[in-house]
Order: sequence, then structure tokens, then C-alpha cells
Amino acid sequence: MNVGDLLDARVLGPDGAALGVVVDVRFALEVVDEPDDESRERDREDPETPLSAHLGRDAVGGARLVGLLVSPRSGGSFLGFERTEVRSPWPIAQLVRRRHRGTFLVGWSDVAEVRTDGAPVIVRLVAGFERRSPAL
Amino acid sequence: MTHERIVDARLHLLSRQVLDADGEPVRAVDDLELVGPDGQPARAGAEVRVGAILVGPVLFVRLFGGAVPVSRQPRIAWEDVGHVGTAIELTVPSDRLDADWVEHWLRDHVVGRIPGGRHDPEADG
Repeated sequence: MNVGDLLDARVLGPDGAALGVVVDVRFALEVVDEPDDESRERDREDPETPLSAHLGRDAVGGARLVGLLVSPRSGGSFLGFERTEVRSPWPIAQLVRRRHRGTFLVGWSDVAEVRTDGAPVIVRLVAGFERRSPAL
Repeated sequence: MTHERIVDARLHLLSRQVLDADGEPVRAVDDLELVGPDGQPARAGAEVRVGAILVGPVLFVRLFGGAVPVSRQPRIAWEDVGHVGTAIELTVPSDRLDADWVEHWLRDHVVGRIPGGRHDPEADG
């Protein structure tokens, strides 16, 4: 199974009712080495250094699948607007938020089945699944 | 102490540039392969991790439809990923990756045979 299979998949409730489409897949990156404040401060003092040479960068380990973001209306990207506190540019933020209102995060443990044999891919949720906030 | 950073695939990972340990661009992220514990196939509801970054001939798939068989998709193991930021940075040089084999093959068998093809312009300083 790939992330590409899950994106744009139809999401069905335990009773078979359509809940929306998967608009994104959320992961938790294990941070194995975190930079100290001193390194970050040094990066800020030297803005000419390319990002790849910055000292204040973390090192990541494994990426664990947390869950799926499900939008009841639109399968398109929401540009991250409803997941963060970004409010500008105002007209675009309003439009995208309106298009994706009702979006929720469903934990991977609440996913009962992923059927990849047909198109579109079907994701079925367990009974009593929890609608969590999509905020990052 | 270890903690976790939350990222979304479409927002932070897909289509991002992959850089090797020397900062050289390798490929862009086309897809992510999901695996269960011990490399078994991913199962719904069970623990699932990213096994590899898939980089592949997606242009033809996008134009003509269908899917590239998993066995034909070049991959970069997620263990080789060191940092996820604006780009995804690897801890290995690109020579060690299978994902660039076409480029390496052409370098060794075609470009290298052209007179002057083994000259390294960056070495002149």
C-alpha cells in the first residue's frame, strides 16, 4: 500500500454511508536529534548560510502513520489553511476554509479496511470511530 | 529525549526535492511506500510506517493512466532520510542509491566514452 493509494480514496462509515474523501495522510516523524537553542541562535545571526548548512536542524527517524484527513466536500488540496492558524491572504483563506469545512482527522486505528482492488480505493471505518480535529 | 513532529503527506512530503548527503538534488518524492512492522505489508488499523520514498517514471502514468508496478519503482529507503524540511535530505551520497541508476549507467557507458567526458569542470576551481 502506498500513500498515493490512500489519497483521494472514498471514505465510508461502518454502515456504508459515504463520509467524504481522503485529502491527506498524517505522519508522526520521530525526532532523534534536536538542535539546542544556541545553534538556532547562531543560524539566525548568519542569514547568508544556506539552509542545508544550518546547525539548528533536527534529525528524524521513523515516520509513523497517524491517520487520514477526510473532507466531506472537496478532494482538492486545502493548501494547509484549515490545519493552521494562517489567515492570509484573506479571500483565499476564506474560500479554502469554506470549501473544506467539516474536515476531520480519523486515526489509523479507526480504519477497518482499505480496498485497493478497485477504483476508486475504498476506506471503511470501524463502528464508533472518532472525528478528531484536523489542526496540526 | 525523543519526541515526534507531525507532518502531512501532501503538505510536507509529496513532490518535495530529495537531496543527497552532499546537498546534490536526487529526485522528487512521487509516492511513499507504507509497511507494517518488520517490513510486512501494511494492514488497516495496525501499526504502519513509511518504508521507502518512491521515485519513478510517473510522467507516463500521468499521461496515459494505469500504475507503475511496485517492483519497477525505484525507491529510497526511509532509513536513509536525515532531515525533513523544505527539502528531504538524505544521509547517504547519491552514488549509493539505486534510484539514480539510469543516470549512473549513462555516465559510465555513454558520457564517459566521449573524449573529455571524464573531465570534472568543478575540479578546476
